[in-house]
Amino acid sequence: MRDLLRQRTSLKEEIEILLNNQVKMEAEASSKYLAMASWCDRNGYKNSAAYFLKQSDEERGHMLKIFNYIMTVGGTAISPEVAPVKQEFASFRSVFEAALQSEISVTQSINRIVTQSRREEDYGTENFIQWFVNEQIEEEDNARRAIELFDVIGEEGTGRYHIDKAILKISSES
Amino acid sequence: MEASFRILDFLNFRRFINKIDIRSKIFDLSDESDYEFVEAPQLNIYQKLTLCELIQLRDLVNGTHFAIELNSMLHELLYQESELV
Repeated sequence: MRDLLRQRTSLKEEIEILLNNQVKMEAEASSKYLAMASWCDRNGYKNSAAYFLKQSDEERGHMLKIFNYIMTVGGTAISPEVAPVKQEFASFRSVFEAALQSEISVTQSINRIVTQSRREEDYGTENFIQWFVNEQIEEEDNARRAIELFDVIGEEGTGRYHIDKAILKISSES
Repeated sequence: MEASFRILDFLNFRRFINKIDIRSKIFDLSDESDYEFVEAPQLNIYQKLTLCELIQLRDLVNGTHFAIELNSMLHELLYQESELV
């Protein structure tokens, strides 16, 4: 009998499940950023709203990259079901803290994919996912820089206004 | 009931069958959980199965998957051998 399975797909089942989970995670990250953009806009932080809208688009781009990869290697790419996201935040600072937490979870999830693909000897996937490893370094750096601004500028008086202005410069700094 | 799947459709069908939580359906006393609708649109399969039939189908599908994977493993080993010669 021909090797039906291998001729059709080069993905092992465990890796395919992990990749589809990552698609779901990136879609959820995109949705979380949208909620943050909405909150910032409602509360008068227009620049931060624009920053989060851009982040949301970026996360969706990540999701599509993985989605296309799964299709390319012959797996079944599953369109993700997104869980309900948090719409209200306690403070301006807590929005960015939530963003950083989200990026850290994504990094950890990416690392698990690298580990598993090494274990399964799937070097194609390992190579592919390395791009995300690097991308996450940048994302975490941006998220941390945003929180750092709160300490550097301070929130008293017109502090928050200046922080909001400085947020726009974060992506162009790197 | 006869079905001949394409390999990817079969894998997705297996995933669907394995996801059905038969245990909770057994303990659920309502009428709806006595049956499960099993669909494979590309082969025009639309069946209503009882829980017993579901379990048998699940075993059949998993057994088939095992045979396919075993075949893959054998292919990998056999072609490795011929390259060494």
